[in-house]
Amino acid sequence: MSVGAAVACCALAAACTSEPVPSSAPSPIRAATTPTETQIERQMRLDYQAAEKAYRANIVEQDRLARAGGVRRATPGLKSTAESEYLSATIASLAYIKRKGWHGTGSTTILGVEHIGWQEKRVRIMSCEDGSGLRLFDESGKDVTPKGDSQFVQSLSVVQRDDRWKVSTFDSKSVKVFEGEPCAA
Amino acid sequence: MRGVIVAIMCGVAINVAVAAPAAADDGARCNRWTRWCKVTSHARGADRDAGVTNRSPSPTQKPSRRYAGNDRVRDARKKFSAAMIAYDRRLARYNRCVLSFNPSANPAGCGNMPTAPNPPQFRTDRFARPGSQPVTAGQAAAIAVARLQLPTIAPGIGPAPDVNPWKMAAVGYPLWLWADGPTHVGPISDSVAGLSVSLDAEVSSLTFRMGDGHTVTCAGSGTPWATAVQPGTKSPSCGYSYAKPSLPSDAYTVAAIAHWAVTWTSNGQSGVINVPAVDTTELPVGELQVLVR
Repeated sequence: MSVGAAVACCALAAACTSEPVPSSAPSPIRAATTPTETQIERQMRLDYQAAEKAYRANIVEQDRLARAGGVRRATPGLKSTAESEYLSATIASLAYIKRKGWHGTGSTTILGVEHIGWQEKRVRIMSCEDGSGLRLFDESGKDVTPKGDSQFVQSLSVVQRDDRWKVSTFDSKSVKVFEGEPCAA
Repeated sequence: MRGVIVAIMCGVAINVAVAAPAAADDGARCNRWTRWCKVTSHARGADRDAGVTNRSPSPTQKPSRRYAGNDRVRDARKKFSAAMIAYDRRLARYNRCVLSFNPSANPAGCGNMPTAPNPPQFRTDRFARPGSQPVTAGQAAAIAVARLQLPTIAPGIGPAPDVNPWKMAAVGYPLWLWADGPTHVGPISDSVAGLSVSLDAEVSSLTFRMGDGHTVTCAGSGTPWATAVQPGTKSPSCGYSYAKPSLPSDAYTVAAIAHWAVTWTSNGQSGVINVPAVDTTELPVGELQVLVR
């Protein structure tokens, strides 16, 4: 460093005096500018990932079963990813499709999943579910898709049971467009 | 989905005509395949059948006094649950704004943090049984955190421009960045609908948007610069050096986003709620011309 540069640096720091500069810089705490994930942050990230994975797997299984004509009882695929009222509601809809002799086409589009809250063994997520591409047909091939809302913002509780995450409870809100919803970004 | 669905409630068979799918509202549970929306406030007993849009008592059935009271509780819980969902949405939108805050793109800021809904008010003896509180521990924690007045964290940048004759930071000079303000609050206690909530908040990390397009993220709350620091020393925990000047035209607007991690404990449960907060400062950055004779 040239003399001039050193003078400039000293002036910037306003620390140039004739006295020796005491070396009392704070002791290093963490590596500079490196984001360090704490244990709890890591746990939250892993839990959210696992919960979202279970939820998405459940939606895929629901779609598969609806396309196949519904079911009367929960399949292992549903039971491993859902429980409680969410599983009951899912089975209710799939059993209705079965009873009617319908079958479906299409797949649910999940526009996005927002992480809302975390606590040990339980997370809350918000999902933008677009079911507008889903159709139901009766045995004669007639389109019997019910009228009504098909786009929902779902607020879901996902809980950890042993080593599995399961969608447990939910609340829904129908939307005309997803724009502006946190899960749509 | 037109049809007659038989629901058995309270030991009485009730025919409920489902005229059309209900529009989903807060407090509803909807399925995108059948497009059923079950409104939960009037649902009683187990779900015996599918497709029940809104299980309401038949006109001839007089609800018993006991159920009328339970209905009031359910209605209040439903309204509160719906309000919490709406609050979650507003909060998620607000948090997203803060976390992605860019002063140049969004000079108006993100506004105030949304206000949490009030929990339902009932006689506490109605909720004497375990698990029958009007709010869950998680909901109580969310409300307590929303009530928490976290201190403002200003962007700490050192050495400050006003300590040198040019009143500016210099290109290439190592700046120290830190959270200028209290970085720990708690433990403190609050009570929400009869549930005691203990909170402990700490700044877990900082994100600085430096105003020149660069972002610096650091764990913890950074290390404050002091006049005793040897000139030219890099921060041990959080720092940055500008590559381009902001002057002579303008100053950089630096935004510090503090990531508060609020640990809560209530009713034997615990969790962490993340609360981001943002504040900005102006930082003129220029180039020093060195003369060597």
